[in-house]
Amino acid sequence: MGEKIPMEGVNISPKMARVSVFHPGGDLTTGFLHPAAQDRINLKLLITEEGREEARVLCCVAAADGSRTRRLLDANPDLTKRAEVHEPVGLISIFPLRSSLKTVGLALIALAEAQVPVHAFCSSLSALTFVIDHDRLQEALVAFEGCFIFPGERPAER
Amino acid sequence: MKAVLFFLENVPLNGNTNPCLVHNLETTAAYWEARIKTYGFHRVTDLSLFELTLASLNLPLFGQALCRMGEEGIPLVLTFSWVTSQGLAACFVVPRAFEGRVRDRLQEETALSGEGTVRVLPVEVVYFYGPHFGDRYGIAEAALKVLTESGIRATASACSGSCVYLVLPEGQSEEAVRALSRTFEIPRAMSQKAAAVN
Repeated sequence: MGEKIPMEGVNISPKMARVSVFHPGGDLTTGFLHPAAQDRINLKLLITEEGREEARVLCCVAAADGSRTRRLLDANPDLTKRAEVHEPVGLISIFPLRSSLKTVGLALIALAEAQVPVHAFCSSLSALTFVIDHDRLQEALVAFEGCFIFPGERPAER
Repeated sequence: MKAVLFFLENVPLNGNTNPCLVHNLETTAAYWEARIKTYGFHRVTDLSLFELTLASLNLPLFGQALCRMGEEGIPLVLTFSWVTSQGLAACFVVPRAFEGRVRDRLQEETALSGEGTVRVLPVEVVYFYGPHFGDRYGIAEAALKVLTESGIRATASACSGSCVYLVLPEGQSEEAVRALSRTFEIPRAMSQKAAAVN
C-alpha cells in the first residue's frame, strides 16, 4: 500500500433497509418510485438502471421506513415477486472524492481485503458511499484508515 | 422525544398538507414546494459508460485497475454499483477521450475487456442538486417521471447525498434539461450562474 490519501471526513449512517426491485418491462417511476414518494419515503441512496429487458432499482431507506416499504411492494403484484428488502445495512461515505478513480479503487481494495461484502456503492459530487451490512461499518472504517487519513475523532457507531 | 426540523414553503391551505403534524411529541418534517427548486442543471457530454460484473475474487483486481487509471489522470464522472446474483455489477463513467486507455487498463489488470464481459455505451450525464435534496422524498421520482413523459429513457440514475445524476443515451441531455426545466424551478440568480458554468 502506498502513501495514505488525506480525506476531509467519513460519515456513518444509522441502520437502514436496502431495497432491490426488478421490474421486467416495467416503468420504475409508476411501479415503485411514485408510490414511495406518495408515501413520503425518502430514498437516502438510489440507483436505477434501465436494462434491455428489465428495469431495476436499488435504494436505501431509513430502518423506520422499512416496513412501510415492504407494504408498498407487497401491494403491487408485479413487484412483490421481484423485490427484496435486506436489513440492517449501513452507509459509509468518504469525502471529498475529487473525481478520483484512485480513491474508488483504494476503497474497494480495502473492503475486499477486510472481507467486508459490498452491496452497492455510488459516487456523488463530493462523496463516495458504500452500502454494507450495518454490523460491519466499524470494520469498514478500520479498513479505510489503512489507506486514507481522516481528521478528528472516529465517528461513533450509530 | 424526537425533534425534526421543519422546512415549509408555499404550503397549500386546503387542509391536505397541514404544516404542523404533532403526534405524541414527535414532529414530522415537511418541505413542500409548488415547483421543486434546484441550483441549476449541469450537462456533461462525450462520455463513456463502462459496465461490468465482478465476482468477489475480482474486486481487488478491479480496484487496482481503477487505482492505475486514477494515477494516470483519468477523471471519474460518476460510479455506481449494486450486487446481483452473479456478483457486483459495477458502472463507471469517464470522458470518452479516455475510453481506449480504460479498456487497456481493464485488460491488463483484470483480463476484463472482451466481448460480453464489459459493456461500453456512449452516454451523456445531467446532474443537479438543490436545497436539502438528500433529506427529501420525491426528488428523483419527479425527475425520472418528467423524462418518461417526454419520451426520454434514462439509461441509469444515481443519487446519494443531495445530487441527482441522470445517465442518458448520447444526444439526449439537451432535451432532458429542457424537460426538467419545465418541472423544476431554477431561481434567476442560480440560472445565470449555471449558464456561466456550462
